[in-house]
Amino acid sequence: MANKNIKFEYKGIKYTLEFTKRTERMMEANGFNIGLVGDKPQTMIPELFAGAFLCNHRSTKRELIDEIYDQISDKEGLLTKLGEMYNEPLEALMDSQGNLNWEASW
Amino acid sequence: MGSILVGDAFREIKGDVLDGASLFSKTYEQEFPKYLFYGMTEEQYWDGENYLPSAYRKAYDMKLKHDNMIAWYQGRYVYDAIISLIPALNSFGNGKFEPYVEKMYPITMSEFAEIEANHNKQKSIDNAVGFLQGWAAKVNAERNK
Repeated sequence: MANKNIKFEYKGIKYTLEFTKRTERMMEANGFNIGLVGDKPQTMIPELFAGAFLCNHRSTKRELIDEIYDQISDKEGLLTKLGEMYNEPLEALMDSQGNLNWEASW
Repeated sequence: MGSILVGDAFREIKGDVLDGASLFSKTYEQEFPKYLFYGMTEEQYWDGENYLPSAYRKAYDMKLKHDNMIAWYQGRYVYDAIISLIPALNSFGNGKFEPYVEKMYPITMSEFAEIEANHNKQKSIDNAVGFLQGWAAKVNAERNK
């Protein structure tokens, strides 16, 4: 029952991107805010992508991460998946702790 | 950030979360002691798989129910002990007390299944005895005609 993750291979190295509570805490302590992705996409999306390396590939150079990010074809799809992955630890922590249902309008 | 390692770029923090952190970190910080109380280790909570918090919550609920059941049984045993002593304390009881419950109360599924099986067995015997008694009464009635 693994966490949600993104797997790919780049230049012969296999990568598994995922978030944990610890890595999200590290990201947020350094200024990342998932709520600002819409307002500051140019800075926040690469940060989100780089943060996903913290769990399993902490020794990866930021330069290489940016290079990989530039090579990503479906960036919109990537962002959606990264968002889902980022939400997962919080959702798992809070599920079934409340019974107030809500609904989004879109 | 050039060629800085991603692990260095996002430095790890110890202790309380910094001011201005988003809902996520704050929630993780707030919930952390609760999950330590549930029995999770620090590593399981911060680095572990996401299904773990839910499993620990369910396990804690089970433990509460279990503890409650044990407390209830203990109360029943104490109650029975007091009840068995009442005749001895009663002035008309000749100083004798009733024996304490001979068997432990059933608590496991197998014990309940055994009781049900015994109950069904006794029911079958009672039915057979009832049938034979009815048949004998019918035979006797015909013979006396």
